[in-house]
Amino acid sequence: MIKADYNVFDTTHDTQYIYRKLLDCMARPGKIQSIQSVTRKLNDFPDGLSTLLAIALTLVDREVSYHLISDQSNRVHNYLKWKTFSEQASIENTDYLFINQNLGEDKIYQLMSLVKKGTLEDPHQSATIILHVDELSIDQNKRQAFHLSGPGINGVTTCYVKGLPIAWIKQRQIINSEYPIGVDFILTTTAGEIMAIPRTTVIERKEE
Amino acid sequence: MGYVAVTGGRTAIENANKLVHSYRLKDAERAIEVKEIESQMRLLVDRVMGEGGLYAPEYAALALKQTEGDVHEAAFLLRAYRSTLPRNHYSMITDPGEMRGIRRISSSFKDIPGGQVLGPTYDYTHRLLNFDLRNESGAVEQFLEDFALELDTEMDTPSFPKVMDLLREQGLVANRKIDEVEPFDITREKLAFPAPRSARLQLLSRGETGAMTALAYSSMRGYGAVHPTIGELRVGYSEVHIPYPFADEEEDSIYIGELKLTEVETVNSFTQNNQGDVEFMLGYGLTFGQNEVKAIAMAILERSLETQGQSPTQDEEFVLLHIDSVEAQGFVSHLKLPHYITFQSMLDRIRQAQKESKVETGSKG
Repeated sequence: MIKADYNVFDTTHDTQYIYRKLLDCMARPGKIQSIQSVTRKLNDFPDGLSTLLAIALTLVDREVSYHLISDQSNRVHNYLKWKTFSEQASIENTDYLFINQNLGEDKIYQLMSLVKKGTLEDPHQSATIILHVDELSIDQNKRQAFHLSGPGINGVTTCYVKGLPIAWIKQRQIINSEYPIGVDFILTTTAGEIMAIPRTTVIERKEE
Repeated sequence: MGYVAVTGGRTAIENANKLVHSYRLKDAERAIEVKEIESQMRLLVDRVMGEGGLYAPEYAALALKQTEGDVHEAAFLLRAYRSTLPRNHYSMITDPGEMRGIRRISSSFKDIPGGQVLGPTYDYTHRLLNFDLRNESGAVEQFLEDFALELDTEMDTPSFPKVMDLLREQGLVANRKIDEVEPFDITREKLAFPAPRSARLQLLSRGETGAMTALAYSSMRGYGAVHPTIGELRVGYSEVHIPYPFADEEEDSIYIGELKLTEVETVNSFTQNNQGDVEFMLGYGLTFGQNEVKAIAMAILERSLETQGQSPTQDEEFVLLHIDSVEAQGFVSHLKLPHYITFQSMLDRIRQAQKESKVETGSKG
């Protein structure tokens, strides 16, 4: 008898689980959710990558495109192509941009000038950027604090992010200045935490 | 102003759902098998697949069983189910000209290459109720016995050259331009008018048979410009291939199965082209399954939409939006849902108007 391996990533139920969490994060910007219980199953890949990959398996299919910036691009590209039949697109055309690298300021400016921002008529035709950071926390002792406000947030909420260069926030502000045009962010960590910052959210850096 | 949600009646709704299940079976001696519907309600299954836009004979039969034969509901179920499926592949171009034919006729030419093949059709039957069918026990065994010899000869499955190619070769067909544009996808993109031709054809192909027949009839009777001759009507099985997903070469493809299709090409009035030559205009119809009247109606409507004029069948929005089974039955059915507030405001207004007119006539008198 073949024993079912419950530790294999289930492309139906596990992606549905992640999708529900993503929806919740999008509806409540700044809320930190954990998908660690399923990202653990992708243990063939390095920890940081497995969170991104789990989200990619949830969001990417034949109908949408993705672009990955990672040290292991080739390996992941083949894996995603076989699992989802999705093809990697250029940065200008991609629907989902996955980033698993610490990028310099110049590179961030360059990326953000290229990504799809949508048009006033079709604002949904913009990119979603899934960005890996070092740490997400609501713990006040962590270094970089951001005040978030806007739809889905009762007043102001504060989150603490480690490993998010400020250039991302600056560029996001420029791109998102003409609502509804803009890009949405999902932040992930090695520990399997996710947080969403949709284009409607206003970010202010905490003055210290 | 948005809609006001109506709450309550939950138990009643639950009981109604139970009741509809019990009505499906309460007078039955045994539950009908899905397989029986699939194999013996062939044309109904074909129709539901066509209107549901999903080629899945077994699921169409299941939908018919579940909805007690309501074609609109069954098509709705199929479309709803289809919308939950991931779309992993797009097929290569399928050419119905190469189909494995079971029926193929032309009413434009008597002698066509390959001959007229009548195939399975009710066209030449007497429309008399056959009471023998009331008791058909042993019919399947009898059938197998009677046709055992002929079944062997049926293995020869011909593919026919297209009748319209005869006219094409002689340069008598006007619309022969091949349009290699990526088709519009009506299941994914929002339709705006004027619609691209690919969108029109898709909408017609999954349109409601009755509505399309009625509109095509109106066009032929005088409320329109199209009254064609059938150049060719063919029913058969076409192979479907998809690109091999893990191929290095673009051309590699794999066979995934075959579709039963009905294809119709109609010959319409001729027009003069830019060079001054007179040419025929073709109409085109293609449906899932054996769905001949719908395929002819599609060819008429498709051609009609390409012409200018004031008749209903020349109005793109009129034709394309009203022939959709789910949209039409959904909108008419929604009238059964609570409209309490809509109606209350109408009542208010009529009472107000009555009061005012009484005051007016009162003051005059």
